[in-house]
Amino acid sequence: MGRKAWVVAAMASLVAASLGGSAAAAVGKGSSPAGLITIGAEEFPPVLNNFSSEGNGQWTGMVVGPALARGYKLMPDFTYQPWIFDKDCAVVTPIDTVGNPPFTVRCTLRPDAVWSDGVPLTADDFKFTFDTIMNPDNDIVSRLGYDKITAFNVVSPTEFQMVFAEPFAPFRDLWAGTSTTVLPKHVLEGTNFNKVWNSCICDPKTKKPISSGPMMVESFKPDQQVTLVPNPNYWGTKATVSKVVFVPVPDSNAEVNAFRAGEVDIIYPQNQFGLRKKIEAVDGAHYTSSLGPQWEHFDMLSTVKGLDDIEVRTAIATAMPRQQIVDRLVKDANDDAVVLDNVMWMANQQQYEPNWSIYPASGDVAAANSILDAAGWTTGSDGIRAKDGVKLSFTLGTTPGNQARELSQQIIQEQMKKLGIEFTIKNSSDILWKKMTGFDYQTIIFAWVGSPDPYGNNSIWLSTSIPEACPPKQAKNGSCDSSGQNYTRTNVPAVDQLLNEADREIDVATRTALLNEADRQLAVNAVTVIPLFQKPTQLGYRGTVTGVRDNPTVDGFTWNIEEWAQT
Amino acid sequence: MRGFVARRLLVAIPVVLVATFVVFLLVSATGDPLADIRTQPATDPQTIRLLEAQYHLNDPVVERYVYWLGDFVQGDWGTSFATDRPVTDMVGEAAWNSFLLVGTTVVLSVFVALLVGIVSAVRQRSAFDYAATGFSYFGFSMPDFFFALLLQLVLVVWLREQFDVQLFYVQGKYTIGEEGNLVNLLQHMALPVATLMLTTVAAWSRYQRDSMLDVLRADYIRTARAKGVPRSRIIRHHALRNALIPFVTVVAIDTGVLLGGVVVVERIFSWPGLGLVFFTALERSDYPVVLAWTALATVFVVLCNLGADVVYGILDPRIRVGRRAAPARKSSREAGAPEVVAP
Amino acid sequence: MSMRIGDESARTRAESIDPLLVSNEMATPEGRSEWRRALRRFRRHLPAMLGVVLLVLMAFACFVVVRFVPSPTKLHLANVYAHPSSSHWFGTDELGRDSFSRVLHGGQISLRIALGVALLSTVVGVVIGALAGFYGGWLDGLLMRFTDLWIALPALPILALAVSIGTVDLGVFGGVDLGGPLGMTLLLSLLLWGSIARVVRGATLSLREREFVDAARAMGASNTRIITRHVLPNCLGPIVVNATLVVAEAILVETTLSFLGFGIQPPTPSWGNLLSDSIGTFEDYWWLTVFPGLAIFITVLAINFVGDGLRDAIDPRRPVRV
Repeated sequence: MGRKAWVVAAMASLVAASLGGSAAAAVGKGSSPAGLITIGAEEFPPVLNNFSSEGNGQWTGMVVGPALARGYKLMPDFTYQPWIFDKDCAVVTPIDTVGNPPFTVRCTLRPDAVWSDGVPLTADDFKFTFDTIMNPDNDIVSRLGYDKITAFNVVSPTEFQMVFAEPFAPFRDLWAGTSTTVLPKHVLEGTNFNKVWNSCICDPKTKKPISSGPMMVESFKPDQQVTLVPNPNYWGTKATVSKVVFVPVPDSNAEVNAFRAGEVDIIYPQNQFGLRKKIEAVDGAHYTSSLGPQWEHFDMLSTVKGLDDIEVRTAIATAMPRQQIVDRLVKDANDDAVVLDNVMWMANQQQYEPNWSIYPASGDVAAANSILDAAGWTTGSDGIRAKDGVKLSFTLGTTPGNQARELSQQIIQEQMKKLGIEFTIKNSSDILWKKMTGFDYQTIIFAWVGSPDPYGNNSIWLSTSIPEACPPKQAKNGSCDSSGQNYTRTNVPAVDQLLNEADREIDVATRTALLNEADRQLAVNAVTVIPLFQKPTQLGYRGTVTGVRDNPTVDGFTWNIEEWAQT
Repeated sequence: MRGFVARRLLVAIPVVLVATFVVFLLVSATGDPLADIRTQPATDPQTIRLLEAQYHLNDPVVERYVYWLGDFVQGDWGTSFATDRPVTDMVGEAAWNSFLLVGTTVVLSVFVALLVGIVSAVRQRSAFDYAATGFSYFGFSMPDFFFALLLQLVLVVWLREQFDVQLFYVQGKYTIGEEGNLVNLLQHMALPVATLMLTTVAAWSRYQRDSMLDVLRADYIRTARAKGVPRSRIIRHHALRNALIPFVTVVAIDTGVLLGGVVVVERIFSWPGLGLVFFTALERSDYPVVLAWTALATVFVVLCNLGADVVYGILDPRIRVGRRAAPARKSSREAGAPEVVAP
Repeated sequence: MSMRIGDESARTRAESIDPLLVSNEMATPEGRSEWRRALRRFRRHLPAMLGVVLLVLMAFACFVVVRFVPSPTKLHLANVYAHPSSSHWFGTDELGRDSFSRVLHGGQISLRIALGVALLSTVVGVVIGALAGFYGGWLDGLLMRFTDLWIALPALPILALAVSIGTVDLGVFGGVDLGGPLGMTLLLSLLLWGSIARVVRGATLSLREREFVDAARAMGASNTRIITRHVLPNCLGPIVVNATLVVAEAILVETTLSFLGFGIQPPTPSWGNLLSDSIGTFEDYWWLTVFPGLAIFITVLAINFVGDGLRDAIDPRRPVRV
C-alpha cells in the first residue's frame, strides 16, 4: 500500500510540475532570451578542427569560421576580399627571366591583426600554418597547392613570400575558405595538431578560447551544442550579438517545426521541397536562397559498351531535359535557378560562359534521335536501340535519400525512353565509393563542390587523374589508389594541355579564356559529365535577427556574423 | 534464484558477442569512415593512408573485431573516429538521457495502462471500455514518427502560430539558458514521452484488460462472489494481484524493446540520447560508437528479459525458476499466459 | 524480435493461447467440428469480419484494380500537385504522377513484402521451434539460445545497416538489393522469426507429453509424422495469430525504415516511402500524405482486428469480445 501511495504521489507531482511549467512558459513564450541567436544545424560538427578529415564538413567551417580569420574572405559573389591581408597578394616579378624562373607571391598583413589574447597575428602564424599543413603526420584533408610551395619566407612580421617551382595562378585560394584558417603559433607550437583542437578552439595550456575573428568558441559539446561569444579584442568590426548557439536538428521535418515554433532563429537546410513556402509563412521570417558552388551533374563512364560511342553521349546530352529538372526541382527553392552550362565556372561567376548551351536546355529529342540514327543505332522490337549486339540500356545511380536527385533520375529516365535508350535506376549508399571508385557503374548523378577557382577540380578532368581500376574488394578496404577523381575516364589531350597551361597562367583574362576553352573541349569532345544545375542554398531566419546574408561559398552564412543584430 | 540469474547472465555473454560481431560485419561492409573525403576533389592521398592505418582499415575484418573486443572487455571502449572522444564519454551521458526518456515513459505508461486496463475489464462493454479499445487499435496502427510529427505540428507549431504560446518544445532537452530548470526539462520531455506512450499504453492497457477478464472469470472469483465478498474487495485483493503477474512480465520485456524504438523519437525531437548518438555515428560509419551502442542495447534487452523472469518468480509463488520446476518456462515470453492462482 | 511495443505485447497475447486448452478436442476426430466452432465464433466477431472485408478490399485494389490504373512512373510535368479530382482520384505528385496509381502500386509492394515476411518467418520459426521443442536436450538448448540471440538484436539499427550495404551476392538467388522488395522481405524475415519459434517450441514441448502423441508413437509413427501430423496441427492457432501480427509489423517497420531513409528505395513506390517522402509537404499537398497514411493505418488496423478475432475464436476460454 505504501508503495502504491508513493507512485501516486510521484505521478501527481509530475503532472503538477508539468502543468505549472506550462503556465510559466505560456507567459515567457519560450523565445530566445535577448541577445541570443540559436541556429539549427542539420549536420552537427563532430570536431572543431576544420583542417581534419572529420572536421572539414561545411558546418564545422561555418561554426569556427567566425573565430578564425583567413587571409581572404570569400565574398558571396565568389571574389576574394583581403581580411588579414592588408591588400591583395602580389606576384613578385622574377628578376631572372631565363630558363624556369621561380614564381614568388608576396603577401602583406594588417599590422593591427591580433589574437584574442593580445598577441599579434604575424607572418610567423602563416608560416606555422603552412608547416602544420605539410607535416605528413597530421590529418589534413587537402594539401593541394601548398605542396607546390618550395620555400616559405617570413620577411617581416607583416610580410611573407611564397616561392613556387613554377607559376601557380590560384595562389589566393591557399589563404581563403574555412578549411585554411590561420593557426596561432604561440599556443599551438609543440602540440599534437590531430588532438589539440578537436573539442575547443583554445589555448591548450589555459583552456581559454582563442580567436582571430569577430567571435570565439566559448564552449563545444559534441553533438549537442556549440556556443560562440564576441571576441572583445577583435581588430575588425566588433560583433554586436551577445551569443550565438548552434544546436542539432537532424530530422528535416523537425528542423522546420523548430524554426516555426521559434526554438531556433536560423536554419540552413539541405534541399527540401516546400520549405520556402513554410518559412515565408512564418510571421516576420525571411527566406533567402543563393546558387552555391555545389553543382549537380550527370556522369557517364566512357568505357562502358554503348557509352564508349561519343555519338551516344552527345545524343544523351542533346536530349537531356535540364530545364525541366531545374523548373521542377530547383525553382521551388530559388527563382533565379538556371541550367548550368559550364563545368569550370558557376553561372553567377564573372568568368562564366554558357559553353554547354550547344545542347538545348529543354532537350531536343528529335535532334538526339537523328544523331543516333546517323551513328547507326537502330531501334529494336523492344523499343531500345542497339548496334552490333550492344544495347543502349544502362543503369542510372545516385545516393539514396536525396529527393531532388531521385526525381531528376525519373525525369531523365522518361525522356531517354523517347530516344530508345533505357535507363534502370539503381541507387545504393555505396555508389560513391565502392561502385564509383571501382568503376562498377554506368551512369550516375551526384555533385562536386567547386571553389571560386576551378583548379581544385582539375583532378576530375585530367587523364593523369584517372584512378587505377579498383576491384570492389580493394575499394572496400580502401587500399585503392586515390590520386585522382576522374571517374568517368575522361581523356581529352587538349583538355589536359589547357588545364595545365591555365594553372601556370597569371594573367586573369588569359587564364579565364584557357579554362573556358577547356570547358568547350569537354562539352564537344568528352561529353562525359553533363552539368545540370547549381544546388541552391536555403537560408531562413526569423524577424528577430537582422543583418543575416547568405554566402554560397564554403564560408557559409556565418561569414558576416559581426553584422548580425537582434531587434 | 541466484544460480538462475547467474546462468542467465552467462548465457547473455555469447549473445552479446554474436550481436556485436554481426553489427561489426555489417558496419565494415557498409561503412567506409573515409567515404566522404575519398570522393572529394583534392583530397591528399597521404592523409588517406594515415587514416587507414590509424583505423586499421586495411586489416581483415575478424582481426579488427578482435582488437575491438580485446579492448572492450578491458573497459576500453575505444575512441570515436568522428569526435575523437572516448566512446564511454559519449555513450555515458547519452545513456542517462535515454533512460530518462524510457524510464518516464515506462512509469507513466504503467500507471495509465493499469488504470485503463482495470477499469475496462471491470466495466466491460461500457463506453469507457469501447473508447479504450478504440484508442488501443489507434496506437497499434499509427507509425510512431508520423504521430510524433503530428504532435509537433499541432501542439508546438500551431499553438505558437495561432496563440503565441509555447507549452512544449520540438528540439533538445533544455532551452538555451534554462539548463537545469526542471519545468523546462518536462516541457521538452512531454512530446517524446507522449509519442512513446502511445504504443506502450495501447498495448499494456489492452493486456491488463485481458488478464483481468481472465482472472475475473476464474472459479475462485466466482466462489468468492458467491460467498458475498464485496465486489471492490474481490477486484482489489483477488483479481488485481493475479492479473498483475503477467502484466509486470510484459512491461519488463517491452522495456527492453523500447530502447531500440527510442532511436526514431530521439531523432525527431533532437533528444541527446543514445539513439541520436547511434544514428549520427551510423551516418559517419563511426563503428566504435555503433558497436558500443549495440552491446548496450543487447545487454539491456537481455537484462529486461531476465528481470521479467525474476519478477515472475517473486510474484508467483508456484514458480521457482531456480529449480527446474518449470521446464517449459525458460523464456519469459511464454510466461505471458495469465495464470490463475488461488489467493 | 520486435521493433514496436504494440506488436510485442500483441505477440505476447498471441502466445498466451494455451495449446493444451485449445487442442484437447482438436486433436481428436471431433477436432474438425471444433474448428468449425472456431470459425463460427470468428464469424460472430464483428471487428474481425470488418477487418476481413477491409483486407479483401485492400488486396483487391492493390492486386486487381492496380492493373487498370495509369503507370505509377508516368510523368506529367505540366500537371504537378493537382488536387484530387475525378481524373486523378488521389491527386498528382511533384512530378505529375498519378497518386492513386502510386498508392496502389506501393500497396502491392508493401503487402507482398509483408505477406512474404509472414510466410518466411513462420516457416523458419515453426521448423526451429518444433525441432527444439520435440527433441529437447542439447538441441533445444542450442536452438533456443540461437533464437534468443535474434530476439535480443536491436532490429531497427541492424536493418538500417543491412539496407545500406546495397546489393549482395546470395549465390543461387543472384545479386539481391537489400533495399529492394526481395531484400527487404529476407531481412525482415530474418529478424522476425524468433518469437514464432518460441511459441511453437513451447507448444510442442507440452504437446509431446500428451496421450495422443504417446499413442501415435506406440503405433510406430515416425518422429517426422508425429510432428507434422499431430504436433503442428495442434499449435496452428497461435501460429496463425502470430503470422497475422507479423504482417502488420512488417508494414509498420518498412514505414519507419523509409522515414529513416533505409526503406524501399525510390522510384519503386511503397507505402512507407510514399508517406515519408511527402510528410514534409503535408500542409500544402495533404493528399500525398493522407492517402498512403490512411492505407497503412487501415490495413494495420484491419490486421489487428483479424488477429484478435482469430485469437478469440481459437481460444474458447475467451468469450467473443466487443
